Amino acid sequence: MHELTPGASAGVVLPRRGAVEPRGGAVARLDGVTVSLGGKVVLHGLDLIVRAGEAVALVGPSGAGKTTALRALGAALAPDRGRVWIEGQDVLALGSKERRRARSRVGFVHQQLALVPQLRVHQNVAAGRFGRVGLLSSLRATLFPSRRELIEMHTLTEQVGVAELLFRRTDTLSGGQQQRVAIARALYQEPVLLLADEPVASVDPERARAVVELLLALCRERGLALVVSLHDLDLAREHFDRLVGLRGGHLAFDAPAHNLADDHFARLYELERGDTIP
Amino acid sequence: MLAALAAAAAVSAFALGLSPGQLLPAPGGVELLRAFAARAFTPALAWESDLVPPDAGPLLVSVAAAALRTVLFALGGMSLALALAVPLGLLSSASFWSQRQSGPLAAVALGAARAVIAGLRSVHELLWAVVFLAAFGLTPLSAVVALALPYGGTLAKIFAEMLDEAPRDAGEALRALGAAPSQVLALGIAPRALADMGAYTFYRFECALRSSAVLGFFGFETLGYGLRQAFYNLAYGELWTHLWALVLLVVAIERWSGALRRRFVA
Ligand SMILES: Nc1ncnc2c1ncn2[C@@H]1O[C@H](COP(=O)(O)OP(=O)(O)OP(=O)(O)O)[C@@H](O)[C@H]1O
Ligand SMILES: [Mg+2]
Repeated sequence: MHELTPGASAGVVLPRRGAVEPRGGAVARLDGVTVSLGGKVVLHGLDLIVRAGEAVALVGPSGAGKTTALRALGAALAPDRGRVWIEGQDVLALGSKERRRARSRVGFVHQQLALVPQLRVHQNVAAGRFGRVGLLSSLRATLFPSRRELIEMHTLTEQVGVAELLFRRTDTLSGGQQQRVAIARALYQEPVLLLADEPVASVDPERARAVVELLLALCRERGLALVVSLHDLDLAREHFDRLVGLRGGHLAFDAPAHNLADDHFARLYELERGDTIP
Repeated sequence: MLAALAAAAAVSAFALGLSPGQLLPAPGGVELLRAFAARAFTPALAWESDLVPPDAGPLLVSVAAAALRTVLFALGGMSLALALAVPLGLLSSASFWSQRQSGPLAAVALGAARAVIAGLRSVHELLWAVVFLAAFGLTPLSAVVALALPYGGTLAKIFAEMLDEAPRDAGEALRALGAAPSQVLALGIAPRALADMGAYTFYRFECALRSSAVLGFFGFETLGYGLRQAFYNLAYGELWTHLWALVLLVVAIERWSGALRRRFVA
């Protein structure tokens, strides 16, 4: 994967569903994943491998399919075609219980954060473990968190800088603070892979840098793989070893940052005739 | 739109034989209205009518007891209504079924739940009361069930709408991190609708208080019972005592619900 891949590879022969993953070492992998939303093909047979502990930046213009690709990696949507692997398991072939468990191994910091505003911060963080327990346990953890759980959540929120807000109602927090709560919820999952969708979309450039550096540091010390979608190319080139470019649902490039020339980025972002500007 | 409304008004006025002249009360009616209005701010503090049996306790004690029974009937009706509304509301909400495999069974269950709700809602509590009076007689249970059925149906319908209109982003995030459908609904979607559901329940409780009072006209011993007696006895002072008691009840409930809301929502 350390050379330029021009466009998406088509016509890959896929193994039978439920088969063992072809190549090991990956925490998550997309194999020829095609996704259509609202009758429109949004991802065209995308191949992507995320290896343990690596940090990947996903770049591309608006509407390129970055959010969709991240959701596919987290098995949060059902592709029309292709295979999604998480920790060597063909997620789409799993039963619902095993699929929940596979999903719980991937943390997702959504662009819109997707917290429950009416709940306390610790209650939102506690949701990170819902993939492992049933309804009653999750109600218990939400309403009556144990001392041990609170200590653990306090440590986590301390690492992301919002420990003093643990008992506040989530909607009384600023956008930046809520984002840190969303990161804490994802880490509380104890994932192997963290996905962050435009984590810098709504903060100023100085904070943007801080958020990216925080994500990188948290993942490095835990040995987590990290995939971050970013609009800011400079930020991506400066902090990430590997850059994946998406354009119109196709893979435009997948390469180490130092192998990519300005030209690649210019082509990635140039408007085509017929492109709509959202 | 306005033209259509005006046309509808004209058609119904014609069909019902309405005329502006009917707004003027009959000659005896003017007397009655005047006598009634005269006591609005001087309600009776003791029995005024000679027709009250001599062994009846003091008026204020009797009104207070009737007010208490009015609250109890309303509370009983609302508790039963909530017990009906929560499962029915869930079964009739799209968010409940969309979390699961949608099959023919789901469609049938959803349709059935909605039909039951429509049936409960389309019959007024006073009509249910007539039915249950005939079936069970003048027992408190008749009144409570009569209140619970239409109120349960209305609460269920509104609960389902509130659930379905609640933002889905947090629920979707929970699903993505491995939560089961029940967890998504209970901890991702429901908390976003809960405050509105609570406020609506309190509003319906206020309505239930008025309905419970009116059930007194059928002989249940709520405020409406004494109110009807006072009216028949032409004891307008006593009538106003009962009316003011009802107003106080409704205001008290409103205050209480406001205080609760400030405490839990803000
Ligand atoms: N629910 C949906 N229904 C229909 N079309 C959708 C839906 N979600 C996304 N799309 C379309 O899919 C395409 C890719 O969307 P996606 O959100 O993955 O892009 P993105 O690269 O994340 O864009 P941005 O940088 O603006 O966040 C877009 O053209 C978008 O309009
Ligand atoms: Mg996006």
